[in-house]
Amino acid sequence: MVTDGVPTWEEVARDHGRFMYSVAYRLAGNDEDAQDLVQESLLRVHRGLERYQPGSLEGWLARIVTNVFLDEVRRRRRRPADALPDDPERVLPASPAADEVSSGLSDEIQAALAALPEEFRVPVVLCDVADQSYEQIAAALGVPVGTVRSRLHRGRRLLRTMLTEGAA
Amino acid sequence: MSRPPIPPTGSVDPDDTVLSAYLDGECTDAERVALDARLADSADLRAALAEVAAARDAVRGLPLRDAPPGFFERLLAEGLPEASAAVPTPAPVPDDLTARRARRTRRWTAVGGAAAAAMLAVVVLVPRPASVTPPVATFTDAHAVRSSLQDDVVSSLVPLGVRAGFRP
Repeated sequence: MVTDGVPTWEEVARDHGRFMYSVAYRLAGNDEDAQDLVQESLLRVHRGLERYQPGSLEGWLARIVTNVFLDEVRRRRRRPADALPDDPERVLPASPAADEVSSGLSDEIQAALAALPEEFRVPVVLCDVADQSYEQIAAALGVPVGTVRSRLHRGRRLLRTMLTEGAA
Repeated sequence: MSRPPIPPTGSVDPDDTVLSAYLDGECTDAERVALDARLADSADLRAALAEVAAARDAVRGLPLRDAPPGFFERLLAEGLPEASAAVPTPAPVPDDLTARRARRTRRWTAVGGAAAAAMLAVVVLVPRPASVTPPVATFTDAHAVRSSLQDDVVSSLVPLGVRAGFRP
């Protein structure tokens, strides 16, 4: 039930779960990690809801998913035995059912996106999947807007190169 | 992982970040006017812009990703598991970087203050061991008495103590 414009975590899961999952999947590159990211993100949503002020809910959610993703990347860097999401081999969808519904072109784009270094992938996903402004991305990542602008552009250039080379 | 090289694009600087900012509506008015003029004059620049736009559109054209069937239903039915990480949820509104830094500084100041207070308490409150002055004379006398009673020949050769049998 919505109280003073503040949704419950269940409502967030029901109404914005698909958005959260899309952001998580585009960041992580596979369903298994995306599910973990969304579950952990909902936990943080649950903890943070009392502080939530009605506003850009999806911006807030995208930021939480991104933070969870970056925490996980850092954790895996500390434990190299775990597979890294940057590993292109890991980009392949884990779920055959998901594989079936994806078009070939989407898979190519997703594979190129997942192969981007995380410092470029995150701003690209936040801008082009989560539709966040440069200022919002800068706030989420704790970097200047100029850095976001640079990483985003470089990320798109790399992506274009990979897609062009992949198609050749 | 190694980054794919970015191929040159004629006389155009491929890393001109204004291209992405232009597409996203994130450049200043002066930048936009200047870029419009350059675009009118340069086919290479128009080609570079088209490449960045293609990468941008490719990601933006990705469909929302659905979670595997039953994922959200299961979460909603079973509830969220206990927190796996006690990580704070980000502030729900675009966070002011300065405020965050101030909070971080306050947190570290508090931690540092607590550590200093603990060290001071150790120094002040924990009793230092009192200096010990062994009662050498008493021990010597006792030893002499004991040895005289036990007819300890060796000790009795050293007349440090008064013989037990002595009565003034």
